[in-house]
Amino acid sequence: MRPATVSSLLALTALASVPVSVPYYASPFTKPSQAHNTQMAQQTTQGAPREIDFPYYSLRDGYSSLLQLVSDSPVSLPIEVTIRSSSGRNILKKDMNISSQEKLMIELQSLVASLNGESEDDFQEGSISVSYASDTRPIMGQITVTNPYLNLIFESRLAINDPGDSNIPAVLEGIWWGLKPGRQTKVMVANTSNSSVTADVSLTFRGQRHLGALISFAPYETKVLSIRELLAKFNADTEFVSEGGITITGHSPSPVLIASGMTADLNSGFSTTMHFPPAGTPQTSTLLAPGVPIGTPSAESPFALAGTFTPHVVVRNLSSSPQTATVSVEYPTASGTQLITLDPINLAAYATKDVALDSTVQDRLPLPLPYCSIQVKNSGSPGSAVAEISSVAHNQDLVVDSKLGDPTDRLSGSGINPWHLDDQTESVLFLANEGDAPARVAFQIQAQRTKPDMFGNTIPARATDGSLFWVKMDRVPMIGRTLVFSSHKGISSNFDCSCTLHCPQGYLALSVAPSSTTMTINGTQQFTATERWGDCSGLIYYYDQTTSSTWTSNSSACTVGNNGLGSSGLATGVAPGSATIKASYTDDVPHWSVALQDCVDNYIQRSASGTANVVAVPTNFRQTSTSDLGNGDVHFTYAWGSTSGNLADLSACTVGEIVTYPGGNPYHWQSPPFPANSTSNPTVSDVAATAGAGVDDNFLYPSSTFVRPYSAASFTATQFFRYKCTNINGGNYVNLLGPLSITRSVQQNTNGTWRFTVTKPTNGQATINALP
Amino acid sequence: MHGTKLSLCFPLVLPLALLTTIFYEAIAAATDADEITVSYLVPSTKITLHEPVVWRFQVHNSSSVAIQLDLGKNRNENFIVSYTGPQAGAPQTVRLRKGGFGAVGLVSVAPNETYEQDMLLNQWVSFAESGKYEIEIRLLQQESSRVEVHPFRTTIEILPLDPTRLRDVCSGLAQKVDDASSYQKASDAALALSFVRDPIAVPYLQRVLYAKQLVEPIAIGGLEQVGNEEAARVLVDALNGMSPDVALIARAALERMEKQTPNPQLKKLIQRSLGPTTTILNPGWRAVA
Repeated sequence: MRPATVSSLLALTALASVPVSVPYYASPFTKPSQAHNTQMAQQTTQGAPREIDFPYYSLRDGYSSLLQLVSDSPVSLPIEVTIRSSSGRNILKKDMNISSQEKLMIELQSLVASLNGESEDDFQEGSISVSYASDTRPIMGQITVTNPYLNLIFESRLAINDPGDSNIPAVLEGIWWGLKPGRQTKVMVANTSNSSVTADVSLTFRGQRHLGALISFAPYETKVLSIRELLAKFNADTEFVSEGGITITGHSPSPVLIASGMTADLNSGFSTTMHFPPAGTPQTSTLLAPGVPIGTPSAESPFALAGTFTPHVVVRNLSSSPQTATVSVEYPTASGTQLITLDPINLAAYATKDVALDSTVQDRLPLPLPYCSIQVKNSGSPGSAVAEISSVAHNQDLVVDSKLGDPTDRLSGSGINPWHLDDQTESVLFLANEGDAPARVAFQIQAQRTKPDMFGNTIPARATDGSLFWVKMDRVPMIGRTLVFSSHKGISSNFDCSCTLHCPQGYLALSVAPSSTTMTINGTQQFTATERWGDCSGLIYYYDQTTSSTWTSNSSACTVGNNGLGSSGLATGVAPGSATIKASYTDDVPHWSVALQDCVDNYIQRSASGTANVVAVPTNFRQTSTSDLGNGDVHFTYAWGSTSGNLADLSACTVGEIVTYPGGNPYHWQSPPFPANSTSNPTVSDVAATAGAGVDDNFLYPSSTFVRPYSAASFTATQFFRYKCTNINGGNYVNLLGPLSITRSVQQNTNGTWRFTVTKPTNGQATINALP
Repeated sequence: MHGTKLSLCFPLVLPLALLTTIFYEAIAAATDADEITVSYLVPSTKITLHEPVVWRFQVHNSSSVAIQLDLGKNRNENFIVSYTGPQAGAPQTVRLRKGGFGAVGLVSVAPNETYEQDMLLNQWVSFAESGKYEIEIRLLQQESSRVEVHPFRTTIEILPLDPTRLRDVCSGLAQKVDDASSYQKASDAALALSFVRDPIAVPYLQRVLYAKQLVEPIAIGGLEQVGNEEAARVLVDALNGMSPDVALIARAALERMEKQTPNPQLKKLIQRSLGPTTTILNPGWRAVA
């Protein structure tokens, strides 16, 4: 097993030391002729309809999503990218072309904005599908979801969903692990069909399967399931169930649900992807992950200075019978690959175990090592156990996920992968030969810049981006994967599918966040301007341009500050209406001038905008009168105003109450002595806020007949007055007044008679004295 | 339902505001020296079973001074409806009465203005079967002696169930909710839809539930009243997929459905959704593969 860093391949120095035989360029990658291209184009436009689906993208909470599509087609293909909102009710479509061998890097924030979907909160997350026509399946891809502020990254992998032929599994099986306090594990499930579908979701933990509530999916809907919330429904102590399995079984004529998942720690930057293997995944009892960092990697390791790592082997027994899993650690030495085998892990039926290869294992190894391979072999039938391996840096910031594969698989992770190099980023191809004989591997490496440099080198020494093909030439058990990681940013990405070169590098977009917001009058909203640059590895770089931008508002609905005139980007609502908040700044992009033999400034004007909708909300809610209407009815009137001074501006708002009773639902009044009434618990009432006034009655209904024998009794309900507006607080209620206690009581008078009283602590009371 | 003030009198034959139905003026029920006209308008087209029945209440003030009307809390509690259904029998008299918070019922009508509001008659009469209904609507006597109120009587015939038409009606109401420019308009349409006590309404109530027009409690109320498994599944979905405020209301509706339904499957579905959690131990757990 040897890693090949891209820089070493570029220098062609490491190749000789790689024990696998490496012909530098192999004929299988020769491009077809132009005439052949034309012919293929005619064929592919009449090809079979194809679709690939990605379960999840997110533009929410600082996340961005990059859709990378690559094409092995010898001809350009028209494709249709469909963005489905989380509810599935809204879609955006974009027709594009992907050239032969091209890698399309589609920044979804920009795409949604260009299709005017950014004002829809529904598009903050959802799923993606890409459809095209071809006789083969040349297009592959991946969505990389990143949060650079929190150093989080996870991947959303594709599912093939051709009409009548898909690799969507009937049952989605995933493993979660590392769910500690402060972390969250979420599973994003998308319905790829235009029909509603229900699904059973079960969790497996502590050796038991727990079948949860049936979940419904509207057509094309994406749901985000929180493992912690699901655990809570099973009354599990979520603080102590750190690993387990999730099984999602859709109920539809053919499988339509796809999923991806992640565990993240917002504080430390810990993030790891949860995979749901597709249908047709090779069934094997032996899985292998190459290139796993362990301990403090040695100086020659690609992981050098990235931290000190503890690999986690997470194994899940899918069967109803106990079995064992045996973990072996392979590591390189001067005399060849050595191996230690750990004690078997006992897996009860349906059990999931997270085994940390900590000091007790690492003490048996000749550390420091540059990397190792980890093999997991289960004793049960092929496919009866699944596993994931992730190496966690001690500071928890960097997690290197290492996808386990089957070395005997024909593809073994071979194909086209992107690479990227800079001061902080390394790209490594890990290859593991699990056979007894030498193996030959063919490479093709290309740089993004294809013109020779001044020394005539086809691949410039300072090239930063390109692609790497690899394929095994012999029928030997072998596995490989390409890893692009940036230890300083605490993120790493795996590539083991076809990805290729020609990806654009450089400026992507300037965006203003939030893209759309709703503010109250006198409320404030901080807008930010962020510039995004992308590189060939799918990594996105963010630059905050908030303070260097000039901010303007095109409406008197709100003002926005600049340096010296309030805080930059801080908008303040003034009156109901809408305003475009624009950020403009001048970007200095220096470039090399051949004529001047020097760097020269190149000033580029950039601008982007967001929308502020200023709305009025109810205010000054107050009680205006109270009266005893007789028969135990205490009556109140209330009034309120609008923050704009005009009640008509509250047309998208309600004012109402929620009253909660101290018992079941419906709440049955204690009878005797109270009338045998029952009340919905809670009771919720809303009226149009434009009315500006409302009434509140607390009476005896439907029965007003007290029931003998009388005895002292009382009950207290709790009342809140509140409002809601469609665009404020996500359409959720905002309290205006409360809690108020509404107490109904039956008490005996000194003369032996009985009286009924209903009171509120706002001088409201009604009495029936004496009760008949 | 919604009340508006108009500066001009409406013609006697109106295109309808709420549905595609046509109203006709049934009677000018009360006059005061021809200065104040109280009108009741009922749909002129046939209505099929489970469709909402909407009538329009109209007051035109031709006098030179403003008048005040007290329509009761929520602008409907001072209307008393007596009716006899297709099976004849003794007339039923219904006056709406709702505890807690509600809209003020006082309405002021300025000189030469018309006040009107559409009212959902299903709130008083269930119209649970097809046939002829004899209806009398009466507004309680007003404090102002200038408004003299007489009862209004009419016959409404409910035709047998027409699923295709009912779907169209439900779809139209859901669309009105989607398109509503104010809460009042959205809630009027949602309320009408919530009184369609038929499984056909469920997908439309689900659509309204997710319409983000603040009418979630109304949609949930409608689903609770339909009360079948499909409605329960929509409510269960709301437990997970909607805000805590809405989930709380959905949960309460499911709790009541579970207690009231005689359907054991529905009971089980709701119990499973609300907890306590079902933990199924090996080897009895059913296969999922």
